[in-house]
Amino acid sequence: MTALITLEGVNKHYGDYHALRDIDLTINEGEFFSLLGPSGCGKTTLLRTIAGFESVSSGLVAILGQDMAGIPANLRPTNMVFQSYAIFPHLSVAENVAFGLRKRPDVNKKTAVADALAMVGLVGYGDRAAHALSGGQRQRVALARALILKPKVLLLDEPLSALDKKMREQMQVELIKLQRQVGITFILVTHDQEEALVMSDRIAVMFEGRIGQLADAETLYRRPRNRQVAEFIGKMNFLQADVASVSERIDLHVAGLGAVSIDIEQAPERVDTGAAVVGIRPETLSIIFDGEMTTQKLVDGVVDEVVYYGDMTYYDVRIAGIDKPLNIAMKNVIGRPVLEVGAATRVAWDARALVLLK
Amino acid sequence: MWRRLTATEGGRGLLMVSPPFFYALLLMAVPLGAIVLFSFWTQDFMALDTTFTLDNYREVSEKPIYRALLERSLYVSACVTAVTVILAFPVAYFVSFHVRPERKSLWLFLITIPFWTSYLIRVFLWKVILGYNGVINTGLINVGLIDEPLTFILYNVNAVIITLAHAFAPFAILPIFVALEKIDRSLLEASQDLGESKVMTFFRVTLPLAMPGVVAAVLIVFIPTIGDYVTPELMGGAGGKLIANMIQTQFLALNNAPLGAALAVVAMVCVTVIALVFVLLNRRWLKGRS
Repeated sequence: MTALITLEGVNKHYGDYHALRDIDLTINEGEFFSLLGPSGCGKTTLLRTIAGFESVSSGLVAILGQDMAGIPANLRPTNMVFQSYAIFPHLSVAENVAFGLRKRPDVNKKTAVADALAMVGLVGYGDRAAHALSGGQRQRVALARALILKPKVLLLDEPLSALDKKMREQMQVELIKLQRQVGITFILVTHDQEEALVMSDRIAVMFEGRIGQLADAETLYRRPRNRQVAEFIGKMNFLQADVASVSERIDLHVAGLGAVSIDIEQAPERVDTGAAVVGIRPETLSIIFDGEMTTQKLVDGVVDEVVYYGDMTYYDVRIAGIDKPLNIAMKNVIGRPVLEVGAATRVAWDARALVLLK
Repeated sequence: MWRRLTATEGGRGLLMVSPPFFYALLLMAVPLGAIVLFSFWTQDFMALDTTFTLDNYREVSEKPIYRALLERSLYVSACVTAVTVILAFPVAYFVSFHVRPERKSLWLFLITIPFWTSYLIRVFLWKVILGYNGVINTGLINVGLIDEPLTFILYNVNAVIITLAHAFAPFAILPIFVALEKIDRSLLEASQDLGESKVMTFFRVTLPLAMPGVVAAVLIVFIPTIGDYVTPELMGGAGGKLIANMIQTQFLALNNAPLGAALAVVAMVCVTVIALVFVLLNRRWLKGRS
């Protein structure tokens, strides 16, 4: 894998506001990369810096080894799908898609446009007026318009946020397929962690202009590097803990669960002895119903809240020694009852699911 | 009756439009009808001959003076429109694209400053500026660029064009400004992202999207300038008189209201035809806008 985009020590100031802080980042060729974070974290600014719409205050942005300083957006090998899609309202669908081909006389416009429209599933839409398109269709036109130029990188600025849930899930799958088909590097900006997890090879989670963690989806979910990332990605229960010793393994005491020994890998942040926090995902905990057996460790609790989702039921279970009830996700399999609030129950847990954080 | 009117949505609507409707009927439709009626009558010294005749129109079409005046009027209006719109566009563009959002209303306010003084006074001011011993001539002579005063800037068609262009500038700036304001800025970024420079982005995106505003500006400037008679009267000299001055002369000086009415109708038909062409153009540009 070769590096396509390199950012070194990138900073961006807007007056007093520090939008990007010391961003170091390498994005590889053919990768589906996501910039994930809450609104205002600088992810869109970072994308626009790569596209050439924002200059950097300090630091280096290089594409294919070439320093991009002073190179305007129209001369960069990047194309963008805008959040609003930015479809030209005075042009037809075909004219929109062919917009960037003016400077490429070697390309046969007609067949290129037809191919691009076919690629995004809009065969026969060429003569439509831009305003007669639905949200999903606009997005496809924006994709075709960018991909027809065969850029080195396709930048996607929250492309799915304007679509309804069904459409969004469908487009997620289509985008992944499309990316594999064309082999172009995709950089996706999103605030939707699920979307980032589903689609990306690697994800950079950003907070307040910094990259909090850069990893693949599984690592990000299973081994969040700090509490901020752990809180942002998925649901997580946090328990007070007291670290007794740190060597190959870590021995600690977890509030409500007792003495535990975990692998050093389960502490992504360097942890010293003393007070710490343990994170555990709701789906790694389970309620043991009457008549069910488990080899896992058990702890007694009382159901505090029940939220029924159809395929899943989320329980809040109060356990002695833990200040906040534990959130537990249970699959609703046949024969398993839905417990009532106040019912006494047992919760099974596994030390391998714990993440130790500062 | 009253209850029937106030009971339904449609009835209330009718009630609300009726005062302006009757006002318009009284002050616009009736005089207009009278003008059209007059144009088919003839003046017989002090009395009106009310037998239907096309004599006035025959005279308008046969006498070269009327044709020449109408052509000159159209030429002046076209020049004024072109000059005004071409000069207004950069101003509107500047205010829309380069003025900070919180300052825009201040700029629009400043643009309306010429309206603070009466139209007549502004025309006289242009006399002072363009005159034989006016600001421009004395200025240029003092600088040494010319030896004797320029004469082509007052009491001719040029003076009329300069004065009218200034008078109508705000009318052209505002619709163009509104059209530019409505352009989604991400469209300009999209164009640059797709490989176009800023200049080409202007011609491929900004200008086409601003066209409804430009067409509106053209109409707003062109239609009233055809009928303007104050500026050509004061600034036009002998060679700068327009059709409106002739209509005024027919009505007031020559006591030939029917001929004046016929001239007015002919001028109005010309304006209507040209305006309709532009409205159709506007439709074409507006087609496909959401």
